Formats: sequence, C-alpha cells, structure tokens
Amino acid sequence: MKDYSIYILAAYSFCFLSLILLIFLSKIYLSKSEKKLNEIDKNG
Amino acid sequence: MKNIFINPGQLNKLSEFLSPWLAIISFIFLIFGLWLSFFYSPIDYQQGNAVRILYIHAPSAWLSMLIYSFLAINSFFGLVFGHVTAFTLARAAAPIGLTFTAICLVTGSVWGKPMWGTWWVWDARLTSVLVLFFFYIGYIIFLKSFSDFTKGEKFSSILSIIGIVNLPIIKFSVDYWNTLHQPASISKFSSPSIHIDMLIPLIVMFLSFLFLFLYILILRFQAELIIRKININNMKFYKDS
Amino acid sequence: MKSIKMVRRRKKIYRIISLLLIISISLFLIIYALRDNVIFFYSPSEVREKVAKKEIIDGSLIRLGGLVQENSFLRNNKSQIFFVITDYKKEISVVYSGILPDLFEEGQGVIAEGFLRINENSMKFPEKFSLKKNDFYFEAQTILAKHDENYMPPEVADALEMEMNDND
Repeated sequence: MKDYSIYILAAYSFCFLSLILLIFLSKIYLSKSEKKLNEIDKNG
Repeated sequence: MKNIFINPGQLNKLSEFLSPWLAIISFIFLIFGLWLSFFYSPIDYQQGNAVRILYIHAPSAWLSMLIYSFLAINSFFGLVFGHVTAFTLARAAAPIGLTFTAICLVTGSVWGKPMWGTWWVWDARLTSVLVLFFFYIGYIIFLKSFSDFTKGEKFSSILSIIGIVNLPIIKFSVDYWNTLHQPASISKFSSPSIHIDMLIPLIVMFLSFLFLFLYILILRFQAELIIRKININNMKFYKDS
Repeated sequence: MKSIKMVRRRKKIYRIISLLLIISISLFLIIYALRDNVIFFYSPSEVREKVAKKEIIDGSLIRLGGLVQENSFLRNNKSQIFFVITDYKKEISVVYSGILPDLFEEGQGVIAEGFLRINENSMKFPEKFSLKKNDFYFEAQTILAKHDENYMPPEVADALEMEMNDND
C-alpha cells in the first residue's frame, strides 16, 4: 500500500489554514465594526 | 421564544453567552476527531491512508449544503416577513458556507489526484458543487453591489432561493447519472457501506465543524448587526441633510 | 391593518413559490434535453448500442466506464497495456500506454477516455483477447479509477473475501 502522507498533509493544512483565516477575519470584522460604531456614538 | 427570531437584540445577547461554549465544544470535538482520524482510524483496503482525507472532505461537503439551506431558509423568512434577524443570519452564514465549499472542493481534488488519477473532471457531482460555490459568491457579490443595502439584501435573497434547486441535484447526481464520484456511503442507516471505525471519526469531525460553524456564525452575526446599525444611521443622516 | 400585511405576505410567498416552480421546471427540461451530455461515461452495452445506431462511429472521442475484467490485464514489452472493460453484459477491449492510477485493479471500476476504433488489422492485440477483424476496440488516452462507496480496513476486506469464497 502506497503512502499518501503528502496529500493528507496538503488537504488538512488547506482545511485548517482556511478555517483559521476565516475566524481571524471574522474577529477583525467584528472589532472594526465595533470601533466604527463607537466613533459614530461619540460624534453624533 | 418567538421573540428571539424577530428581535435581533435578544439573539445578540444570547450569542454573547453562547459564543465561548460553542468554541470550547468545537475545539474538544476537533481534538478528539483529529486523534480519531490519525491514530484510531484503520487504513482502507484500497486507498491506504488516503482515506483520512475523507474525514475533512465529507463533513465540509455536508456543511456546505447545510449552510446553504440555512441561508436560503433565512432569506425566505427575511423576504416574506421582513425579519431583520433572518437577513442578518443569512448575511453572516454566506462566507462560512463559501469557505466550507472551498475546503470540500480542494480536499476532494487532493484526494482525486492519487485515487482517480485526476485533479478534476466535469462530472455531474463535481460540477454541481462548483455551481454551489458560485451561488455563494453570487450571493455575497449581490449583497455588496447596491448603495442601498436593503436592495442588495432583497436581490441576493432571491438569488439564494433560486439556488436551492441545486441542492437536490448535488445530492442525487451520483445516483441519477454515471459520474466519476462514488455514491453516498451513509445513505442507508441500517447498514452503511463504511466500516464503523471509519464512521466514528467522520461523525466526530462533522460535529466539530458544525459547532465551529455556529461559533463563526454568531461572531459574524454580531458584526453584521453592528454594520446594519451603522448603515441605517448613515441613511438617516443622508435623509436629514 | 393587519389583514393588508397578511395579504402582502401571502402574495410574496406565492411569488417565491412560483419562481421556484418555474425555475425547477425549466431546469428539469434542460437536464432532460441534455441527459446524454450529463452522463460522464458510457457502459460497454451502451457503446455497442450507440454504434449500432451510428451515434458513435470509428474515431469518436468518448468515455467508456465499467469494471476491469478479471484476468484480462496484460502488459507487453513496448509498455502497452491491454485489458477488457465489462459491465457483465458486453465487453470492450482497451489498449493504453501511460500511467495507471493507484486504484486501478482487476475487478475494480475504471473510466477510460479516448477513441473508439474499428480493428482493421493494423492493431495487434495479444492473442487471448481474440479480437475479430472489424470488431471495435478502445484506444484510451487517459485512465481514471472509479472508487466504490465501500470503506473498510484491509482485515475486514480479507474476511469478506474469504466468506465469499466459502459460499462459492
């Protein structure tokens, strides 16, 4: 039976890197929107 | 109970409470699932250890379809009843579904190269999943392409409801047509054509991804709610001036 | 006041349902019209049927799918590969020179992409294929292995096979 470790590594790393990126971007999105809201509250 | 679905503020409060729990549950399932898929799961009699790709491929494929149904149902309620919560949930779900569809396509491709002998073929299953991917992209682009965000919401909701006809095509493509992609292994509950030692990691990984989806959904829901507030504020500002 | 809202809602629901209906009906018609094109490969029986109807002729580029017949695989010294694709009703001999995917095995599913050729004595198949003159064979350009939906550890597969042999 052949060893497919490289393919497994590629698949898992793509999967988890993209999920981590998604969480990271979502967190940034949330903090940015909160900042914006605070600015508006201060000004208006 | 009914109020939770109509009043976004209540869901927002609930989500603040739920968020850490969902993250913890997802993480526990993930660690357990990874251990199962790398150490507990036996190798397959034909695929060898390439079967381990299945444990992320199949759950992300299920989720990509589940999230799309969630998106379309929320769009429907948003359109018909005008619920802010439904629209916001749909908005929040779209990028997550897009990511899971991308994971499904890429991991499938990486599995296909050594197993089938090709990265990609244009058979009914692979093509219909690619169409699902484009529906997600279309939904997100439609959302952002109107200066009046409620208009964008309406158009993209209609698009997502149209896209729901694609889901049964994805599901049954492997049964109706000759495809390179194999038919479903777990369609029959009494005796799935997958060994129990491979079924357990599959289900644990699915649960992990499911809770991860809920966690990110809540995160994005909070953000989208704030953005909506800002947008409405801006619109009032322009109306007044 | 409330009733106007309800009527509007109902109208919206009807609109959405009719939209979905129209789209699914038109999609169904499109798929029905293109049913031959949606199919990824033909089985040997279908190919023979289509050859009889002249829908597939000598030199047609098609995909042929089925199982690799047991004890049919042969490799000659020019690294040409010969085997038979069968659907247990009809079979077609295949010639191929190239890399085989890892899942390729006798008794396993396979899809060959290439040209259908009429045998005009130019192609020498090994003797055991007993290809008659003017019968057709398949000249494959690419071979894809088709995986089935069964997943199990090797020990279980061995046990199953033993059981099968016992029953015979």
